[in-house]
Amino acid sequence: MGEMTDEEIYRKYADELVRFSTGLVGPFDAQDVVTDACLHAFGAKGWAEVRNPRAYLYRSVLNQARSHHRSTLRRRIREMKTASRPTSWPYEVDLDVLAAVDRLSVRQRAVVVLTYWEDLSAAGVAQQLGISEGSVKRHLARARSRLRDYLDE
Amino acid sequence: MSDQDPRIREMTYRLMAMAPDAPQFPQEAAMNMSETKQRSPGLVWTVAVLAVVLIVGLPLLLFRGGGDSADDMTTTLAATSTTVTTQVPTTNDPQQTTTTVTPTPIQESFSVFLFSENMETAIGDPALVPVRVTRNYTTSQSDLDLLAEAILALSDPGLLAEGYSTAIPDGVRTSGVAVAIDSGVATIDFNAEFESGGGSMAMFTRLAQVVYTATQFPEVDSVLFSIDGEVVDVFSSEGILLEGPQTRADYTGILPQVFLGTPAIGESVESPVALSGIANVFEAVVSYEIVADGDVLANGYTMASCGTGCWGDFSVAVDFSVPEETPGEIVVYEESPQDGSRINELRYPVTLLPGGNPGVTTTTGVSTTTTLPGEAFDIGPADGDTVAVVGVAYDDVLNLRAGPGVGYDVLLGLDPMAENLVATGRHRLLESSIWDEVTVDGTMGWANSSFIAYLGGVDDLTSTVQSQIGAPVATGTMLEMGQIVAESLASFDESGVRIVVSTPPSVGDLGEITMDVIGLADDAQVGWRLHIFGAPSESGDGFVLKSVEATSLCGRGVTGDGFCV
Repeated sequence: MGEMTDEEIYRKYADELVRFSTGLVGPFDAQDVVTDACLHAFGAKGWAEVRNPRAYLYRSVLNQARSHHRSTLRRRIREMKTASRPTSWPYEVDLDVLAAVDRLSVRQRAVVVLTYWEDLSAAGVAQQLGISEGSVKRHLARARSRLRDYLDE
Repeated sequence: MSDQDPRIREMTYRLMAMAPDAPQFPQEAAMNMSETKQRSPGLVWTVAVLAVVLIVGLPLLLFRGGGDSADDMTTTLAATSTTVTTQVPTTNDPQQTTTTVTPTPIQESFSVFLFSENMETAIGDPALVPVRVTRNYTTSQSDLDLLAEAILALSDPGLLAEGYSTAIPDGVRTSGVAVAIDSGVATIDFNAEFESGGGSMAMFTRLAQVVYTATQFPEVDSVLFSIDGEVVDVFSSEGILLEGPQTRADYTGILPQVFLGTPAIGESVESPVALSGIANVFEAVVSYEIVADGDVLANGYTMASCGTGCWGDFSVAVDFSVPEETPGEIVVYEESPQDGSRINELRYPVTLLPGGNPGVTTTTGVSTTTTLPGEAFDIGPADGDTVAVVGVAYDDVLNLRAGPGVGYDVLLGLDPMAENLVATGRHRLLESSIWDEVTVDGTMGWANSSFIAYLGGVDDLTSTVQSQIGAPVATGTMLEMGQIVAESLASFDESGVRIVVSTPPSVGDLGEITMDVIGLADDAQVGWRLHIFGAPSESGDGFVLKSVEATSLCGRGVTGDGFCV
């Protein structure tokens, strides 16, 4: 892992991890998921031997996102719609996009983000997430199908 | 990465644009917390202010693509560009009035892509159509000149008066454009007027009109948008991301289902006329007709290179014969898979010219691929495994097709409860579907893997359902009972879950219905087949839930004791 401290590693990757996390759980809980994932990673036994900390942190964020209660995003969307928390979120929110994302499983979301945002190939996504290339392709095909159904509505 | 659906890419970018800032380094935060038992209010406040400040700048930073050679582009633009502004009528020009020699006008024509007021897309929006424009010039025009003219014509009031609309602001015409073409990429420089107005749809269609209009020229494959000399990464306040040169394929979202790119409305054509365009139609079949005076001069159909859910190119040369110049129409349409009626029809008025080369059939462009579409895929039922049809409604069938994809002929309609499919172990991955090859009653063919699963073990889920719903489940009909039970189990998972009635209700001593719940996120267990039994209620006007037997539907295989693997 070279000479970088945890904090340096964090500073280097935090922005992209939050974006990735936003793709997985929506913007409202993205920061919490990244914080939890990083605490988890930095505290893990094998952390010092990790050779690709970026990929490790991505996987850690994905795992954290999967254990994040999956109904939360839908609840957040509902809250935003009913404006019960109108001013507490300082960023712009696109509810249509979140409703589309809500249709996907967390893994499908991960594959979509890495494919369309990071422009990774199926092999690249597989490597980043530590899953098989076949799984990546399947998640992507299913995600596209679900999103198209939604976008066509 | 192929990108057949730019909407998904756009959606992803919009999603990414919502990302908040990174939180503080967590161990630091954790230490702060352990020392002070709570996060310092000052720190939180600072972070919040920073967040607000960054809202404005962040999306731009995020969207800025790396390594754009904007400087090179500008140079190219200056070196080879031609600036065209609106042609002001020259009749007031004193030099013009003293001219006595009338030069022979040179006629040039090109297509302008506008929205038709009387043809529409499947969802009722005006359809994007090419309209032929012929202009007279005193000197011959290069394609670069014509490209600029065509872009300006996109908001030509004369064309708009003829029943077309445009998303291009009028100011573009009066302020002019500069164009350059380099290795297939047309760089088109607008002024800020081009970004005026609002609405993401309007912005998207605006870009589409320019891309379609520019790429009609053979030397243009794609378009780089530039505003006041700067190549645009993020277009307009709608934040539409323009990643590199734009092609027609980036804008299929606004097309009619059958899009005829050539010939254009108003074009004069002689036989054989080449009809080409792209379509997203049932089984990839595009039908066409050439008519004049109510007579059908020619008709037929051709195959697009992809169909039913994907866009495919089509191109066909059609013969016709007319004795003299005749106004006619070129018609393209899709036959409804339901009743064979015409849907998604476009009618382009054209002028049919005599002569040409009638009688020689030169059908081209029909895709006859010998290899299977998509790519080989290694996940799915293994060779020799027995699998079942799942998730198909009782009044429907699962099509077993001659190849992987909806463009292939249907060999058999499989019963929704069929359990006798034997996998060959071959699978194909298409853009948005996966297909498995199976043998059924001696017929080998392909079926969509979303409707195929292993049948696993049976669990009694009666108490799970009871406790999920609470109190005795009583309904008026077994259909309602089935829906309630299926929905209660589907609610454990996400919204991509489908519920279908795979065997309709029947009533004997007990009421009975079979529901498939399919599409769980779990790769191993993709769903349940629920056999739901209801006892007639004592009042005799309904049913009370008696039992729920759930067969696991497994995606990858089943262990000896019925668990999904």
